Amino acid sequence: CLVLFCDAALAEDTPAAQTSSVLLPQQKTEDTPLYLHADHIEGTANQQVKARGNVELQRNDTVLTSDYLQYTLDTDEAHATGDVTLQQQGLRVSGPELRVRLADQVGQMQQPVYSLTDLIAHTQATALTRKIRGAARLLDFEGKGQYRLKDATYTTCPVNNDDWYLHVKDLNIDRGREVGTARNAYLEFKGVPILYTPFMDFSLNNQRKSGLLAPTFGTTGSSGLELRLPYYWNIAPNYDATISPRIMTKRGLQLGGEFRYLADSYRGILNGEFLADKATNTNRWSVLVNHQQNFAPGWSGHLHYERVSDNNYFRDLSNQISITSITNLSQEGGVNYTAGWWSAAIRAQKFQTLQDPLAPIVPPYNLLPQLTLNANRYDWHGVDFSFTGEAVHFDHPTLVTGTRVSAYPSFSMPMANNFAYLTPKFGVSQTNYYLDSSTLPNTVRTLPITSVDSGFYMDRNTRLFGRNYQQTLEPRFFYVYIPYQDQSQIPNFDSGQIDFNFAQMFTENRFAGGDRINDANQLTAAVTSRLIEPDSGLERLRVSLGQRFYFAPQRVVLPGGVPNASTSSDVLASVGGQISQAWRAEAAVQFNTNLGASIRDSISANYRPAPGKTLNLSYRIIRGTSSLDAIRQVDISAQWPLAPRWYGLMRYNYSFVDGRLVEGLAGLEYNAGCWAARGVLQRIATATGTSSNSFFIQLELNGIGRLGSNPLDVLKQSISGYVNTNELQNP
Amino acid sequence: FHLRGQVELPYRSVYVEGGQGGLTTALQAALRLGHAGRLAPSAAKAESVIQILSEQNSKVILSLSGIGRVREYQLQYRVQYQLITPKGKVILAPANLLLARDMTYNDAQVLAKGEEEQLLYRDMQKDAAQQILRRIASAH
Repeated sequence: CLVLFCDAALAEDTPAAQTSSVLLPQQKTEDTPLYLHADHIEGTANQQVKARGNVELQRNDTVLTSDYLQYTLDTDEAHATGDVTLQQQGLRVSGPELRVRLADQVGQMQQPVYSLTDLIAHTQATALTRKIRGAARLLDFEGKGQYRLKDATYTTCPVNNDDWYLHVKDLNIDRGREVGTARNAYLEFKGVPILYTPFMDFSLNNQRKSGLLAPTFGTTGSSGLELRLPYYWNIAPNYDATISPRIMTKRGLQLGGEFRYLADSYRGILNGEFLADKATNTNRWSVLVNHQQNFAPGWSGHLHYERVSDNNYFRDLSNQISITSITNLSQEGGVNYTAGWWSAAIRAQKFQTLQDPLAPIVPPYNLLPQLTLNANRYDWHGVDFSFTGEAVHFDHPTLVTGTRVSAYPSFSMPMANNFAYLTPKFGVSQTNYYLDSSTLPNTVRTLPITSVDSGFYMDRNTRLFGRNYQQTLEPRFFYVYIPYQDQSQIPNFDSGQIDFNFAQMFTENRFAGGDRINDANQLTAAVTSRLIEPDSGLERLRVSLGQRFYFAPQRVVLPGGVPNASTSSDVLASVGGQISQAWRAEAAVQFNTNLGASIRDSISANYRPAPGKTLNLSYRIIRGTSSLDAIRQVDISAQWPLAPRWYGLMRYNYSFVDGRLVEGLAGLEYNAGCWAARGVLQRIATATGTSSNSFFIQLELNGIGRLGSNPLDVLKQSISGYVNTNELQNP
Repeated sequence: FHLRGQVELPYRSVYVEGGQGGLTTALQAALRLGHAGRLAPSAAKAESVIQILSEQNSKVILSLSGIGRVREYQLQYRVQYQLITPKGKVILAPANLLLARDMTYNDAQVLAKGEEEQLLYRDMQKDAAQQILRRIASAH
């Protein structure tokens, strides 16, 4: 038995001006009742209700408004006509007529206009939503949260902006999975149809979703016109793949793919590219495998394998300087074991060296294999123990090969209170060489290493530019003694001289690698002063000054090196820090007192007042003997709003030593709110006398193409701090 | 200037949790030595816990030679940490610290440069430990 509760009469003669409010009885399938409001309600009890004028029917989160509504109780069918609007869960559809069964949400609407608001990102401060809108010939309600639109349009552009539309024969919107599926769709941009697809699907709330990524069209000097159409395949929450066909007019079709996987105990990437190159008549390819795994507590392993078909692979096929500059590709694998205070590892590593024919280098040694053992015990009756051990077989096609076994046990007694510290340390480094058929002797090198590290802290409160700071003064002294041993008969497998800097000043050995240990009777003196914000503890500025004094000549050198008899090192000075929220600045000088000239200078500043506004400036000098080791460069890069919606992009990196542009980039980005277009013109130096020029354009439609792919990667690398304007709050 | 100390921690005992080694070791050493035995043996016995939430090493090209080879890298070390009580109440909300060091590079010395990189990351970890303790001292 159904009863209509009403606060107004149900009779036909009820004055139309009186607002009626009716509570319909509970339906069997729903827990919540229906509410009906209208200017005029009439009905046959238990069978049909007719409402007229400002009709509003409400149940749960569904609200239906119309001029006229007829509701049949036993079929649960609502038939609304005249300015019908249905709203539920962010979806709003309007049309002249709607028939729908309310409980199971099955029905139809003619000529609907719809909009859909979805939460796409949530930050602490704001919720970022995206509005999708469009119209259709027919909308089928196919159950809760399931909608099918026939001959529909779809766009993320706001009302009164018809910049782009997707025209879809059959569009299915699934609010449960937040996925849209389109069959027979074409894209119209500024009135011009630009892309047709028989099938596509996209995420309604910007989640990872299979589909086409933003295509890139461009031209490069060496490959001609090219088009990339990357496709993202979201296989499972922990697996995905990207397939990137790339058509180049001068070279042909390159197929590229990347597969990523992630599990509790392992993760990895497989990446490959293949091209039957018309320009060189060769097959060209690249492979990258990276896998990391934890086998058991303490046990882990890794595999990294990178290889390309030829020396020019990256220079010919990439426009990213971080890729074209790659010279050594590593192929390595290993297993590690860590047991808290000690760890052991076995590793094998080989390299593929990509040569610049006009500036070849000697390829590095391969480690086949390397075993390491490290142990550290802290605070055993005030003494710290440390042990590093290594055995490596160095393999090389042309140079002396052999095995090096080394061990360096040491102990130190750190003493400190809260304003000063003193750490004496003593250790013995033992190294044995077992060379494979060489004229060089099998050297044994045993060297005692003694050092004392000490320093103290002072501070004071100070005021600078009207703000209070805590200023520290931290002098530090580091003394090292290592006796001389002739090491000229030892080959150089893996050693090189470390840059002279504040980290190197406080190490025992100025050589990295195990083949040289410097003779030392030297004292490093340095002082650092910091400005610290007292309330946050943030370091705002740091000034450092340091020099090393030699009490004996430095005789140990690398092959080709010259002993140094000077009594003091260069002077290092640096100043810099995150001065304010927007400014970061840094300047450093390495000054040679004997020459009376600086050896290495750099000055850099970054200004980032807001996302989308970035300016980077740097000027670097390294004095060297030839253009191969000298640097004198200016590097300016910026992303800056030029006008509302327009952003300028640039990088200018010029080498004065070589008299050439290392990287030049100029670009414009237009963000229309529901789409963005960017064009980038770029020139990079790839090898001796060779540069690569390219021009790329990209159109990104919000809600359809996902981010990724060129030229965004180029921009992120070339302009430090670059942000995709689509990721900014729209203007 | 007067001798006063690097930082005066407002906690009697601090435990260090998480991290991949270098930073954790540097924090432990600083707490054990510079702060007169304030390193707690376990989180339960500590007055506060420094949690290393993430550590990230990255490398960006700083300068290239005229023939397009890398001449200098900037090594960047990014760490996110927070300070909590052993019961999980947040004392200092997750904070980020970014440190950077410049390093010359030579493709012919890839092995030696790899080791130099490790030296600079260790240097940044020690530097980060000092800066984290200073922030924590101001955060209570």
